[in-house]
Amino acid sequence: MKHNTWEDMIKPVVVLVVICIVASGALAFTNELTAPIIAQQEANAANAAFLEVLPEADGFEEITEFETSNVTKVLKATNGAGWVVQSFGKGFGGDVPVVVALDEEGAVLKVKFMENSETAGYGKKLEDATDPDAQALAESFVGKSGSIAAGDVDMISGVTVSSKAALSAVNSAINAFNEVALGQQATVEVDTSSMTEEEVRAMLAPGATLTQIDPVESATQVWQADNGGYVIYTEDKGYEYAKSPMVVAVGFDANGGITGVWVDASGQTPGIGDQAAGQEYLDQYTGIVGEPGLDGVDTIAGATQSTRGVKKAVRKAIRAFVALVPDSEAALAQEEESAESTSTTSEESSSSSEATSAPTTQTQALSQEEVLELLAPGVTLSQIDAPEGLQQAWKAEDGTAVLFAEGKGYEYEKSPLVVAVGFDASGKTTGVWVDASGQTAGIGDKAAGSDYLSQYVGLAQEADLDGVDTIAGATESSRGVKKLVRKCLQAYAAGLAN
Amino acid sequence: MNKLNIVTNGLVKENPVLRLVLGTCPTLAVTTVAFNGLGMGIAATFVLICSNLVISMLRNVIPGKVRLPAYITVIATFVSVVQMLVKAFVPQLDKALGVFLPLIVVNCIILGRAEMFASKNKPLDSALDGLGMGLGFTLALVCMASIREILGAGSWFGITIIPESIDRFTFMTSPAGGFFTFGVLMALVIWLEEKTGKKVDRSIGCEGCPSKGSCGMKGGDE
Amino acid sequence: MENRLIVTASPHMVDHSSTRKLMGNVVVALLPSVVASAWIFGLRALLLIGVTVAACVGFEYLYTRLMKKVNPVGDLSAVVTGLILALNFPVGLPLWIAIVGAFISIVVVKQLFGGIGYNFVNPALVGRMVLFTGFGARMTTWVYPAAAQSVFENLDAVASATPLQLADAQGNSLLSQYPVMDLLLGVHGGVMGETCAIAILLGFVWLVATGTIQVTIPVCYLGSYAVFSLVHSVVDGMNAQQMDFAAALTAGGALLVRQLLAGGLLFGAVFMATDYVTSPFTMKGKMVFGFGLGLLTFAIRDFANMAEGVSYAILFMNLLVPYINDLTRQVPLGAKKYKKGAA
Repeated sequence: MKHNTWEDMIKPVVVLVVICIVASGALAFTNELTAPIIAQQEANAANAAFLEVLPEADGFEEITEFETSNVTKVLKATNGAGWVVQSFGKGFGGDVPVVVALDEEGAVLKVKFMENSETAGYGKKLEDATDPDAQALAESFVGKSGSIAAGDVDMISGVTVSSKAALSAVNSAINAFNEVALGQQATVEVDTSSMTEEEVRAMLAPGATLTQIDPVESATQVWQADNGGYVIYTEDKGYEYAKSPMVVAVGFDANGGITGVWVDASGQTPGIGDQAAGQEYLDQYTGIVGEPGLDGVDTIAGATQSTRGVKKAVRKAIRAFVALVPDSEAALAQEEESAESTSTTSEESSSSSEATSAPTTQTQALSQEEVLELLAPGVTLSQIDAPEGLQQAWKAEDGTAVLFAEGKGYEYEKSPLVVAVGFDASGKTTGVWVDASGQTAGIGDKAAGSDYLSQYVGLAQEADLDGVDTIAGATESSRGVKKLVRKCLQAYAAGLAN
Repeated sequence: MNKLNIVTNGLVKENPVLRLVLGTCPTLAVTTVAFNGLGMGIAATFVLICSNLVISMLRNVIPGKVRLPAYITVIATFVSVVQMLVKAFVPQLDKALGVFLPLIVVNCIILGRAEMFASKNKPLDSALDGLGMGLGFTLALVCMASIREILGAGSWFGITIIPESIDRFTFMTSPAGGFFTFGVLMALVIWLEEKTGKKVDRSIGCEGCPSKGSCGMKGGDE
Repeated sequence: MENRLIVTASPHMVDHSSTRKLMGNVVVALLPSVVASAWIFGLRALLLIGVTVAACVGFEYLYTRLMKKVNPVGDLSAVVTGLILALNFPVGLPLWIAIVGAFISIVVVKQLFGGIGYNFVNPALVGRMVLFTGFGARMTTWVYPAAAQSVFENLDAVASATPLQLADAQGNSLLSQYPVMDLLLGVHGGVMGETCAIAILLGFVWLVATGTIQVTIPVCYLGSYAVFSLVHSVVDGMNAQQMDFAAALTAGGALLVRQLLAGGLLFGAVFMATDYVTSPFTMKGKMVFGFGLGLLTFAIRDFANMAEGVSYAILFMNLLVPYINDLTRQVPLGAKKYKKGAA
């Protein structure tokens, strides 16, 4: 019996225990041997990136005390070779991390893009060191210091969002350097989405007491500050399928200069349209005085409708301000700008796209006078006999002219394309207006879009048309426009140039 | 059987992957690139030899009731050791194999051979069997991985073989391609058997199973 | 071995059909699509089709000769597979890739499983899908049709999206605005056989007129797809876009016409789903089959991240055919229906 108990119960347990003890011993021994090697390797991999950007450094000392937003690590080379900062920018699919090496003065030595989750073939190219576009962008940072603008570097065409994210990351790195190395104030990003209404107004009109007054024009709320400034709320739909309109608050100083813009873009497409509420985009508006200043504000590619909506809302706010303070600098700036194509009521003007000083807007709703005014502003035109092939010709005494031509765009269009080309006194095109309402909606009417039409400004002769692209996917319509412009140029050269 | 036979047994005649159909999971997962296949094969071979050796040495000590937990503990220890060594000295292999390296613990080949061979034979024989099986496993892996990598990515062990201008047949690196290659290789091995006259009569059930002699299941020889 | 004396049970009915005749009818039905693809995409289409058909026939002949089986090439089934496979290619596909596809269709899917009648999925379809997985870039490069030459000046071959893939900047499909005439004539990007709806419809009429296929599967397929798609459009229109029922219905209807004509739906419904070997026997089975196809195609097109759902839908339903056959078995006259577990 005892023999059985030993066999059945005790021996198995003993054997297992012994095996486990021996196994643990073996594992502990191996661990001792290999753990330091593994740890070293992991540190090396991390350091590899840092050493790659700053090879002269022989080691790094990490600075943990910093406040600059969007920065993960700040390292100072122990031998004084410079600094390495790991930072990131908000890209399309997430963060775009970079590692930046800076010299002692804060000029960029090298930029390396790390792994990101951007779109393959677009932003993902950044992490590929052999990609020529990524290389060009990285190299264009070298030697720059201070706040780098998008125009200073080689942004990758077609990869705007990711390139801008990389730019913002490098700028954050420089900001961190400024804070830690130079002792300047940290640039901390303010999260505007969680602010209350009072906080928003306080941000836009700092140090002033605000009282609410009756709204004017198309503003939804107007608050007057005791220092002469205003905070004006307006709304715009933004993206056409948005569930709720965007609420925009614009702060003005006494002159009508914009102190800041706050946007609630929660109804727009998340990840796309809500970039319209991003600090980077909205910073463009600060300091603008009057409507003409809006012309320099870009939209964000891929979030066109939302950012255009913000722009429209800001325009409405400016108009409201001008209505309130008619003798302000903003109002004066408004009057000086005569290349307006908007009608008087603010309702209509907000539904047509923005007027820019280069009159190339897609405004099918314009009457003929408005088109003439658009292309040859401030000049009295009289109609003359149209040359062969053109529908109408208008000429002014100083040599400016506007020619209308009609023709076929998309093969199955409902009605033909109508194109009007404006010429200034020297014979260069001032702009092109297109009625593309008969083309396929969403496809062919891109041929009337201001992005496309801006290519036609400043052409002196027919040969200049060679540089004009057609729009992929809207080939027939855009080619139709090009043909009609060509006709106008030919007619102008033949008969009207004198 | 003599010592050499034990080793060559595992290479073709009783190739664990293609004839015993054991360990198919890492086979399909890891064979997208030849380097990974080779690395996995070598790691598994090391574990096989060591575990077979130890289990054989303990075969008279471990009671029948607890043999499975005992075997698994031994195997797991060796796998952990291998994992640590790989992490320390060949980190790119660790990254490439990912979770399949620790999964060698449950690789049927190792447990299967422990049960079928090591628990019944002398240590030296068991070690040789481990070597043979491991080499057979590695051979099968490298063959499959080479085919898949050459056709699917145009390279072999990272060296580009097919010129860039010819499109790669990326189907081969997908799981569907893996299964297809596996099937073709199995068919090839059986055809080789027929050609060399060593064809085994195949039937469904225990009769046709190559492990018939050493399996402990009902219907087997024991 | 020829069977001169055939003894079967009554009733004795003589039908002069044979595999060759049936396949011959299918070849004739496919000819309009061949001609259309040549007219739309240029003469290279004919070259590609010719090479694929030759490769299919060649592989079948070589395989059966190697394996010492009876030569089946005369029954024209390889020709049909070759034609259907070729019409599933974009016109720019390199010839060697087409030959690889032919090998997969004929040797792997058809012959390895036992030859005609034994394949469990449509051979041409699997060939197309393997190529799609393996040579994705080549299989999805659409070239703008050459028929446009006469309409435009200085036209280069421009890569353009298929109508199903056309979307605006926000990713919304622009299919609803695509002109119907274009879809009928097929003057847009896509694989060679699927673009010209009129050619496919001509083929369909021929197939039905000669009794080669029954209308059940195409009708059930397109019908169920239409119902699902229309319901989805109406619900979507009323909720997301706040249209009232009538407006949503008209918009949905307009979109439906385009959805039916765009992509590989018509080609798949007429030529690939009706393959004898891989579709159910009975009328009931065919109806279930068609219904399932419509449902799957709708689900994949509308909810999955792919523009084209027809190939996968047909493949999936092919796999289910044995079960459908089991469930819709016809009960012989006078017999009791077999109950599982009955004594």
